[in-house]
Amino acid sequence: MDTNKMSYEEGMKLLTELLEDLEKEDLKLDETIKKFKEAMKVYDHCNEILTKADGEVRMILEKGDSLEEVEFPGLITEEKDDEF
Amino acid sequence: MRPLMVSEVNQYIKKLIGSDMLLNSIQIEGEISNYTHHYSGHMYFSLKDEKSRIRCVMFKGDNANVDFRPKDGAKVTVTGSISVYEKDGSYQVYVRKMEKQGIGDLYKAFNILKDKLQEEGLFDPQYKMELPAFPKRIGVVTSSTGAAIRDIVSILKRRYPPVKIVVFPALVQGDGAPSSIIKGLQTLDGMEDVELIITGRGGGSMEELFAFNDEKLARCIFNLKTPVISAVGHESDFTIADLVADVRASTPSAAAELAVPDRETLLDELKNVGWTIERIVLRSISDKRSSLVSHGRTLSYLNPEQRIMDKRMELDNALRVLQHSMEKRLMMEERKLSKLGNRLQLSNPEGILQKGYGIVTDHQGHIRKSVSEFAKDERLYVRMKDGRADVMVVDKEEDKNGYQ
Repeated sequence: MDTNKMSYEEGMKLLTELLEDLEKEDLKLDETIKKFKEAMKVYDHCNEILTKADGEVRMILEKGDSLEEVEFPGLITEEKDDEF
Repeated sequence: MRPLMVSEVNQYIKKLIGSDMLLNSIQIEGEISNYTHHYSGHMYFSLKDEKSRIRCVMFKGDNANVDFRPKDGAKVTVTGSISVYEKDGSYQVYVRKMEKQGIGDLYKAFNILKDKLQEEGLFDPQYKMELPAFPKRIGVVTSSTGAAIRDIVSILKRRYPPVKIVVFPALVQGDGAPSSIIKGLQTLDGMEDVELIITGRGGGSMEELFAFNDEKLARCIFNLKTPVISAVGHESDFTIADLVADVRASTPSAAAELAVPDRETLLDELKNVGWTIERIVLRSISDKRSSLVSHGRTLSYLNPEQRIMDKRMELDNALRVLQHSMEKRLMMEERKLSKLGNRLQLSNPEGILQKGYGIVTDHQGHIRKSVSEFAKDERLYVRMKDGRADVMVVDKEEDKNGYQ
């Protein structure tokens, strides 16, 4: 499976499997290195998923019959008791 | 039969009324009039319809639970019992519960709709979709003002900053609310990247939450291809939207918590796995290295070249020891020899003669060492350093204890 297309859960699952493999004492050195390299790749990918740039917040405005997507104007802090 | 006293009549009527099952627990619909909330805390009013009226009292302990402010003209349903006020000879309703009229109808309608949709399978767990663990973009349908949208957006962003959000501002109250919410849901459902929708509002009375009990809205939620979390802020009661949604959250904040994972927790988890892998690999490599070193040691011990070297060194050592002992021996011999030389020097008769001693010999040259060897009148020679003298033994006398 292509590491870069993995979801976070798939990545975590693979990492856990690699960890279990690496814990086996009779693993050969080249296997260890290979699995370690793979694990680091998956790790970086998962880390990337979690730390990618903040997603934007948008708002849909109804303009007559059409809809328009605009930037969310921020959090309105005004509280109207009759609204909730 | 004697005439009865007024009080007796009132007492009798009170007993009669008090023993009537219906009058002991009765619900009455009507419009409030002559409402007064006495300073004692009790409420006094009348209920009327087009034809008639009845006096009502609601005591302080009971009216604390009334969740609206009664006023003249309000249509209400009261629950209570009818009893006689003996002093006036009047009867009145002792109200224990009072609800705004319509609530009952709403509730009835709610239950009918709920049963119907339940039967149709709209709440069936088999139709509930699983929420995506990492929704890329979340749609939110709620009022653009108020705490709900603020709570949802800020909690989503706090827990999982990479998430994208699109808000569809909708009416959440009033007649237009259901169609407004439906439009929002369908719009967001049609957006390719929206993977989860949250819809709801802050808590309110049953009337205020009415929009979320709408049948069309329920069917809309059921038919969406995107998973929906309903977030109608009401801890105790469920709305129809709650029942048909894939997941029900008790408040908008709770919906946001359910919608995205907490990034910090995940990062910690990930780091832990990363560290563990690193540690295991480093240890495994260092184990392999030390076993390599120990094998290397064993190998070099078994190496014939090394053994030859070792033997050569042994040989060198032996040679060195041998040489050393030879030298020692030689020195000893030399010392012995020089001692011997000294002794020889001492025994050289020439040496004695040089010191002024003489050597006595017979005529054949044999040295005479003892007086006992001398004979009287024997001729002997005395050899001195500068010549020889012929001498004659005149007499001899031996020391008893040898030469002292």
